Amino acid sequence: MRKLLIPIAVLLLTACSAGIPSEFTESGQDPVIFPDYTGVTVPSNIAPLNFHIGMESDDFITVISAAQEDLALRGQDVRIPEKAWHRMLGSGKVSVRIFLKDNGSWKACNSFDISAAEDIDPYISYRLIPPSVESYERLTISQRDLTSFKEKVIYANSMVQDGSNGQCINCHHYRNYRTDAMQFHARQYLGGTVMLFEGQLRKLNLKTDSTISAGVYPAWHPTHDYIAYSTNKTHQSIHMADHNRIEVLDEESDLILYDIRRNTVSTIENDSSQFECYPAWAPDGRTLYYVSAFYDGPFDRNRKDRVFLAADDIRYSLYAKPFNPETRAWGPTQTVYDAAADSMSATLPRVSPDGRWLMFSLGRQGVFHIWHKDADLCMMDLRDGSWRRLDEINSPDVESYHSWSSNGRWIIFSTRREDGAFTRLYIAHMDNDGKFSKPFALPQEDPGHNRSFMYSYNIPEFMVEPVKVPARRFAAFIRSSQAQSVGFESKITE
Amino acid sequence: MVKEKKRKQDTGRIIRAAFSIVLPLAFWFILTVFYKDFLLKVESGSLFLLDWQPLLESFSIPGGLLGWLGTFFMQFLHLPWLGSLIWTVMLMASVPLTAKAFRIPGSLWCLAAVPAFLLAMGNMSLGYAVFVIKGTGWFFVPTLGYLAAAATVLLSGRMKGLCSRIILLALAATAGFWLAGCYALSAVVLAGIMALRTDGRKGSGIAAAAVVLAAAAPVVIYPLFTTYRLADSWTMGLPSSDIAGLMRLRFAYLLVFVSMAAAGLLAGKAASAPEKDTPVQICGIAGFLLLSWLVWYNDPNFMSELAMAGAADNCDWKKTASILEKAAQKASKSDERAFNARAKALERISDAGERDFITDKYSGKFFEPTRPMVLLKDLALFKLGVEGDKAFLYRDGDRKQKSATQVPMVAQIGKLLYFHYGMPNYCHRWCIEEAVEYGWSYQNLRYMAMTAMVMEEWDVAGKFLDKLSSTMFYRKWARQQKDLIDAQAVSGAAPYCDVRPLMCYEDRLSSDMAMVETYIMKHFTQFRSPYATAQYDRAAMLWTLRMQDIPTFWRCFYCYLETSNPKSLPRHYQEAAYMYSTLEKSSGMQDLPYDKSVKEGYDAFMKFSQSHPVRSLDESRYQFMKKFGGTFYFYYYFTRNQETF
Repeated sequence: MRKLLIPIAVLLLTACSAGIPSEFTESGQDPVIFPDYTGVTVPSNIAPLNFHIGMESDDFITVISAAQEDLALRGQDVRIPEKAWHRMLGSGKVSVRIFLKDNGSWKACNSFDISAAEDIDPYISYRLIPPSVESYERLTISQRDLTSFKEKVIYANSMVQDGSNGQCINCHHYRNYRTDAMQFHARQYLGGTVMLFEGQLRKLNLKTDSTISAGVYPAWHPTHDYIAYSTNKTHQSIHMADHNRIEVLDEESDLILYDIRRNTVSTIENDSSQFECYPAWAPDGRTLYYVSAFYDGPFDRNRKDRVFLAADDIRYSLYAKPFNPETRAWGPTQTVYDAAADSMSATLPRVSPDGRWLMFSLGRQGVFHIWHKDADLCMMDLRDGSWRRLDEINSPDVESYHSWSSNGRWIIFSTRREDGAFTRLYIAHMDNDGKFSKPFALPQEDPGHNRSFMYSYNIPEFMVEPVKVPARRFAAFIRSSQAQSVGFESKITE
Repeated sequence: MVKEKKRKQDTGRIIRAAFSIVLPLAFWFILTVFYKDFLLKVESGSLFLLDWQPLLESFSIPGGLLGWLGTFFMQFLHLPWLGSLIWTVMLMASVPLTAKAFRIPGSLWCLAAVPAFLLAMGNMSLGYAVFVIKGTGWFFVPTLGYLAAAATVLLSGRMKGLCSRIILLALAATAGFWLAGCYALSAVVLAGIMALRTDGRKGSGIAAAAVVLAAAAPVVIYPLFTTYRLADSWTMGLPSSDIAGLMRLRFAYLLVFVSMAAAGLLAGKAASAPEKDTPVQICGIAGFLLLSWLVWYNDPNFMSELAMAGAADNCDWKKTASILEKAAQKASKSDERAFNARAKALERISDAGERDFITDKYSGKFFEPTRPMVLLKDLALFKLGVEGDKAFLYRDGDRKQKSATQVPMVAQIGKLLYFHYGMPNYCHRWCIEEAVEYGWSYQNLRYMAMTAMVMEEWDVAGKFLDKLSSTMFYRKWARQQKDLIDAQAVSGAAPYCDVRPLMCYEDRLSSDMAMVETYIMKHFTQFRSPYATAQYDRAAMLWTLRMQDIPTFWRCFYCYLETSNPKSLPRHYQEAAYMYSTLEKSSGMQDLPYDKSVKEGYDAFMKFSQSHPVRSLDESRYQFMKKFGGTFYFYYYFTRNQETF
């Protein structure tokens, strides 16, 4: 039956080609489409790249061609049928040509190609958040099937918050791209770090008398049952006259290691003159990368204000710390890149799955580059320590949070390049030499989605499988459980 | 006897018809004429887009469709006569529907108007809660929800078969709940109650099924949603507020439900009640009117605030200032009466404590504007360029909101003040905070677009303008703004041309702690940059006069003289300079070219104050105001320690 259906479908689709204008002139014009998918390389399993034609015309026909198939679609919004798209992309390349009708005659724009490369992890998760300062009435951590347009809520704060008892949710994180070991934080009302581990849900209070806060930015150890966290006392302030509207800074920050089996935390770094943040493991789990900034202001009640006064001079550099997972012993800190010496600030280190590349976000100052328009993605070759700005994927606006796919061929990153205000997700392919192809916007069913959607996409993380715990189970668990406290252990040094 | 009965029936019908027409007409007229600013405020806080996406999104939450319909109707409040007409017609429609659904006999027809009355009062008693109420389409949703519920009850009552009625109730408790939220659940319960009264033993089964369905259906379908708490299932679709004590709309709907449940229970008895005399109905109507008088929120300052803010939103600065002027004029007779009554009361009293008591008692009877009114008036005069001559000609004060809960000024006019005083990042901040808390609205999209335009962030401005282009009543404005962007004419067009010169300060990191007035005051008086413009220094002068700090005044005054180089000094600056230099015994400043009348006025004021010793500011304020009101020195001495919030 299936064998019969496919040729019929092909015939039907080919029939659409009857809509391809038989007579037209070449306009020599490059098409203007939104999102800009011209000349991009995409995963062979990605959802259709629906787009809007940003040109004026009486009528529009878009012809998508693959090896032996043409698909003609009418209209300014081009929505490509999923099955046809996947079949055509399977040929390795599709060619797109847009025809515009003016005064009764058709003109053809220059065609563009979309190339297919390796598959991408089929799922990502992200937080949807309005780009606000303090309010968080409705936040969701959602997962998206990258091969289609299906989106599902992992957890939403509206399932728990009660009137003015609000709940902020953040920092979803998985071990080795699998969702059987995952965590996120629910702050304030009924708050705690929610962890799924060995099929059990836990709610933890990672704050101890010896640490400055509960765990914040997580990094799950790839081989052992540890999670490195930063601990932060974070504040935000508003720029009076700047396009970067908000500044987020830490008054204090350290690094801790949570041992899941022992249910204890221990200090990794807690230098009082350093703001340590954003831990990230090397794939072998024997090195922890992180960033840190020097600040030696006094610890008094004006510390927060002083930190903000010094905001322009707080700059983070990249560091690494050897770690023995068997003994939990830490080696001496090594400087990976002294960004502060270059009057720059490096944040969000993430190591590629093959351990060769270290990607980070670089801006002029500060730790929260999502609010810094000058922030760009950079990448270091860990074999020789050389690094470069990824000019081929950066934009004049913000590039910030990024995540490697499990095969190391794709990155997904957040950027405000489209309108300067709302964060959107872009994906780019990396070749063997560490060169990226033109990034493309996360495909959406509605081509106008990115322009009209009033939420920002935050913390994109790849997953090889969906989160299977239903949202209502997370909600019921958060509502019904007390946050379990953890013990504190001394740091072990080599 | 028969003739007499017929005559009475005819009279009853005439009265009923008259009230059915006169009351709604009067209600509509009052809303349109006297409450148009309230209706416009309600409308500006909502958003209906001519787009399928919001409709599709509405299905993600029980009651979402009703909310979507509510916002659809709320957009018509942009034309207050039309929006209020639609609402009035809905309320009118509820009366016969109620009578039929709950089988209210003609003899008790005024009972059928109870839901309409409660729903009307639910909205009209809100007052300041209008700034902090949450709920998509909240203004129309309870009315629409009630209409749907009553129609369901009516339909259920007309169905004969037990099975078909239970199927209907099951549909209402599931699909109905999905579309209309708790209103569908209340319909199920009310239909059960009606069945109990009208269907004998069969009715008991239906009633039991109804209760089970209303209780269990939300639990059963809860796993399909991720947008709310299970515990909130039975209130989905009701407006809410995070501010305690502001749950009147819920209360109103609860009363509707309880009264209709009672009507249902009494339906059988009432049907056999004898035909009542017309006076009973008149008493019922009189009761409605009396209750309306008691609960309808009608604070003049609130209405003036709304009118001033509405005018300021439209940059109609003359109107903004004139509203305060008219409010003071309107109150002049009652002020005089209060003054005379207080004088009489004080005549008999010698004890100081008792004098304070009397003064306090009467102080509320004098007209006094709220802080938002004062600040909006200042802004308006500043935009008109006459603040130096007129800012203190108006009544001043800090009258508290006549409300159980004080709504912060930042929620009322924060974004407006920040935008027009050239602090777009703070305008942006409060727009987005409001959008997160209460949902996107025409008003915050407008300010977000204007903020982006004044910051020359064209892409994001386009995004907000695109949204407004999908609305019925703001598309024209959005088109105009887009045309300005396309023509690269933003900086020269109003209101941007007045705002940009105020954006001449160094960037700094700060927080307003939601205290708008003190934050703007601090901004203009303490953070002047070397490249300050004349407009900035004018604003600084206005705020330094409000600050009542002498060294700050002189600092701002020198800057003002430097950047404005005025041919003649505005009157209030002269008054302040003369008074401050006299107080400081600063001979240099006493030689400024003051108007003769300024010197004479101040000297007369000092003389008068010596001959009329001030025992307390509250006691003497009105007396001094009659003689010296409209001067800076009156403001300086008699308007101290203003409370801002």
